[in-house]
Amino acid sequence: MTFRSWFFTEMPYPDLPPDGEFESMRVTLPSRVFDPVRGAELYERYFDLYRTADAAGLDVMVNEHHATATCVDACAPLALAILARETKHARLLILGNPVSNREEPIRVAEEMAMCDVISRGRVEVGFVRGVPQEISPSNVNPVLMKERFWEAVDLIVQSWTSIDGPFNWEGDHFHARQVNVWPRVYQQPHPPMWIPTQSASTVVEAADRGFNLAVILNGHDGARRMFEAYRQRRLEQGLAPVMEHQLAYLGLVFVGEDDAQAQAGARQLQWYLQNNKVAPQFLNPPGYQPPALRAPILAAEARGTALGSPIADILNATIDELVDRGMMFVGTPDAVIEQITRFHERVGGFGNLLMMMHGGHMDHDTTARSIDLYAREVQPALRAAFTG
Amino acid sequence: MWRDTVRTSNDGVVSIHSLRGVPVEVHERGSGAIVVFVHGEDGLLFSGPLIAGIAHGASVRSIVLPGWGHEPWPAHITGVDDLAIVLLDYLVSLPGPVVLVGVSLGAWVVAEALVRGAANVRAAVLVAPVGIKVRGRTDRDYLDLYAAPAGEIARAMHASTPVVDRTMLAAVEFDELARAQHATTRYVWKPYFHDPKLRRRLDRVLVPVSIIYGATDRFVYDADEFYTAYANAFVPPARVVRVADAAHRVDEECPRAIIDEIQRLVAEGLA
Repeated sequence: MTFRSWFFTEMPYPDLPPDGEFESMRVTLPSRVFDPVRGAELYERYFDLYRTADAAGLDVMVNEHHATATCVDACAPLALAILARETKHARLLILGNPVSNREEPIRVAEEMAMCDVISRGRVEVGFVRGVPQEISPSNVNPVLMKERFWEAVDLIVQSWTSIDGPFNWEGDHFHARQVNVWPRVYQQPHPPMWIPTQSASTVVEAADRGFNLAVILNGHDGARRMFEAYRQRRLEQGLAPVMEHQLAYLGLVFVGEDDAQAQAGARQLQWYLQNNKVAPQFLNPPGYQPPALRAPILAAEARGTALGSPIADILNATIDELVDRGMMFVGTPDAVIEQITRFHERVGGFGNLLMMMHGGHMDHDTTARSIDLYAREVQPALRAAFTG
Repeated sequence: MWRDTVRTSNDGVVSIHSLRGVPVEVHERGSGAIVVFVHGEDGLLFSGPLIAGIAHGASVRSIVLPGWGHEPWPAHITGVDDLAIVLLDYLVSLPGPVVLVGVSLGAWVVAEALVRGAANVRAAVLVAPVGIKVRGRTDRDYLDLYAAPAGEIARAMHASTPVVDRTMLAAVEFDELARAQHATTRYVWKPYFHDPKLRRRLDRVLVPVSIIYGATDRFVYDADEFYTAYANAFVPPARVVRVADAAHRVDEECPRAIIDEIQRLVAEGLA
């Protein structure tokens, strides 16, 4: 399998009020901040960038978040549907569908199936549990999210693979009558499935089910631990050895013609890290993680050291620090090739780089130049080096 | 149904009861007429002074509901209605009519048990009860504990600085608190802190009910209006005791008011 590089933008709405004027970027930032005319321009920019990435030979990825200016792709299946028509060659990864938070898994199965057929089998389907700050917008009981997640996934997979007439589903969390998904998915028996995680227990489940595993902004140490746990679990269970295409890492990427241009682009990418303020009450809701893990956080909160950001440890990191930790890949094509190659070695190999190549106010031309340089110079070198 | 005494201490006897296969921890303290105590969101973590006060004149049985404490949490116990049935199963194991006391979420459990025809209950005391909805669809009756800043929650729950300083809890107590909040979330998430059918069922309750609430309770939208509506849903209306110097955590801030009411009911029963 070839090494794949996936272009990704969170589709931010970057025109924010001064930081002191709002408590939280997530959940409570009033939507009056969003100017629909400006929003339309931004959507046009983002879909143009996806088309640019496709034309340049990259694959593309979309995600979704809710009630936030960090990401105005609130309905990733809609973005996927647009890209199914607007792109011609790229694999289309949705990472992913927050199926715990959705009431109708069958609807998700139908959305993915339609996009898979329209794109003639280019869709890759991710399932995500969702971040804690999505709990209020979805109003799903955090205690039940994990149970709902796997039941929804099971139902969706069965709905894709049951092609001989309806079945019924009466589970703990979802009930469906006469399930008979039309259209049938293009890729048989179903599209590749992905899961991103920071949790060891989810790594186990992903390994057992053979889902592609995506590790997000964990740096080389975190990624190596997760990839090793995935490989180890497959080995322990006597399952087929892990192929590199089953492992993915998401980092921030900017390629410039020279160092100055690259550094300027990287500073714009940092917008994502530096504008992700979340009010503490949305970060650690009961039930999202087991009580034993939450107790020390409660103790810290009681003593006045509440969390202020889900990515607090890298909020104010310099670009050099982010590069050193393997969270950002920045520089000229040669520098980026060297950084990714080093990262690849340190984590024991992986087959997919998910690239946040756009952030904040970055305009189309700046992003497109970085995409072009990556596609022309970096991707071929990585493919030559990593493709088995 | 069996019980197994697991330990005794200065705080009383702790035993594990199997109620139709559900393991339930019960703490027993004091002697005399039986008072069954049903804890609120925080379990028994902050209820010590209240229970000790009740135990001066009665035999207090404090039931630890599934999800709190250390007993396994059976997968089929998923709602407040299940907790009510656990309570009903416990009540039928007791000799003679008891005074039933519940605090906040525990009072909701008591109310759900009462509308199902609780046997062996002579009277009930609901302390800052939740479980009903009074307002319209765009107005929460209860402060959103999952969206409100910590300071706002603290002001809703306590009229003044809590008796127990939360910053001084031991690690094991933070473990207990985390388990308690986990369990609470499981039971109260949606519909939020209420059963849409409960209010219309309260007129089925046949035993005398007292409602005790704190005047500055800001966990509910308007303490006087809300608890009056709660009381008036019973037929005849519940007796109401308004405590001036307390918010939602009356049991922590003014246990004396609750003890006095229980002692009154116990005395009436003995008369």
